[in-house]
Amino acid sequence: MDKERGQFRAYLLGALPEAEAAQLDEQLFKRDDVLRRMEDEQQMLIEESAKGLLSGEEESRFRAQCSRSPQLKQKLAEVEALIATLQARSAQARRQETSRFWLRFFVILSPTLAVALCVAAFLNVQQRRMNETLRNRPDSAPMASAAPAVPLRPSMEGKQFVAFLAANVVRGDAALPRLVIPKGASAVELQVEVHGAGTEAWHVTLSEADRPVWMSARVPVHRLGPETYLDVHLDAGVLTPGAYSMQLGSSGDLQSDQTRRFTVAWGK
Amino acid sequence: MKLGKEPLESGARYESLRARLIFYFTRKCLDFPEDLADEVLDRLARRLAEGTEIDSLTAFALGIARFVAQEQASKPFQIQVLEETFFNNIPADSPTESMEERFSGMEDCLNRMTTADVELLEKYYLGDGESLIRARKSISETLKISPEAVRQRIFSIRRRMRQCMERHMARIRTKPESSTHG
Repeated sequence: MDKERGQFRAYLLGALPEAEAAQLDEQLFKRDDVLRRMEDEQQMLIEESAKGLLSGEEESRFRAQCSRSPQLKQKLAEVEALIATLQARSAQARRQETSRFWLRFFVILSPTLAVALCVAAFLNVQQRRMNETLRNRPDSAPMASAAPAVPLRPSMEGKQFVAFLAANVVRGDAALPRLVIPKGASAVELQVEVHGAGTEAWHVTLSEADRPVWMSARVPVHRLGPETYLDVHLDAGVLTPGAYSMQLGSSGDLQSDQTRRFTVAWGK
Repeated sequence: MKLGKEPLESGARYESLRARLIFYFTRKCLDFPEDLADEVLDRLARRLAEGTEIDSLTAFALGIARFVAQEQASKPFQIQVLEETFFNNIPADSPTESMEERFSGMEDCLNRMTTADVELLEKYYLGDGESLIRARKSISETLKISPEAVRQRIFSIRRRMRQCMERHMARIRTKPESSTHG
């Protein structure tokens, strides 16, 4: 701030020594440019006070002047109200600008998001179905087919072993599926594919050399996609090494009697 | 009182002399400097009416102002004790505008202005400290006009704002009356 401005400001705040102030009085009443500069300085004081930019002493002196002069008080109130309104408008404009940005952003993004959501939902459903399938699927991998021996592998559940006996595989006596039960197995699960849905429960008779070793009249049917199979749980001790024949029949379908033959060996 | 040859000149000189007097009484830290300025102008008018020869009107006015200031300074501090019944016959306050009404009026008036005017006001008033001065220099450079011209433009906008506000407040003041009649 230049010296002259400082002097004008002190004059307006009543802080200029009397001798200096009296000289400035003379100038003020003689010269129009001094009047204009005084008006400018007063306006600056009003604006700085309204914006809280005056120093503590200046502020208290200026407020005291305002309390004495209704006109000055009115000018200050006007500027304060104007600045507050402009600030509120500016803040509102900024908020609107931000809202407009997000609005534009979402307008562009929402179709993309919708498509992405659809794809994600589709993939999720597909994944769940796949998980369900995998959960229900017999843990034996290979279906006994052309291979003469059905490779068994331990299931993940301790000493239980699972084998799958497929239907529609025509074999001679020499090419019967051979179940090699690993040593230490305590239970065997045979998943036996059957033709025809029949009823929900089948009767099963397992014979070794025409001698029944295990039978059940209520073996539940499971369906997995196009495949229908019976889940036969046996104590591993039932299956001693040898040739076996399994008679299957549905009580609701007299034509449903089927036979599965296989041999059993124990691993080392 | 005649302060110039033409009425317009006379009015402008009257206002400028009044402004000088208000500044004088403000710097003297006297109460109601506007009233004191009017008192000086009254005394000056009386002297002129009496036919006193005056070389410099402003210098003469300053003389009167110094005298009035001395009078004010020598006045004892007065305390008036009012009777308890004094306020009984004073009518209730006339409706005055609340701050909210004032802001809404100002908002309304700003909406009626051109975008350029509002932008100019924003640039002029919404700076801080040193940046306020820089912002004002930048306005002057952008508009390719002197700082004085910027100030005049601001004053002109604010004068229009003031007129608009006066109309707005007048509408508010008449509202309660019309609603009681309606």
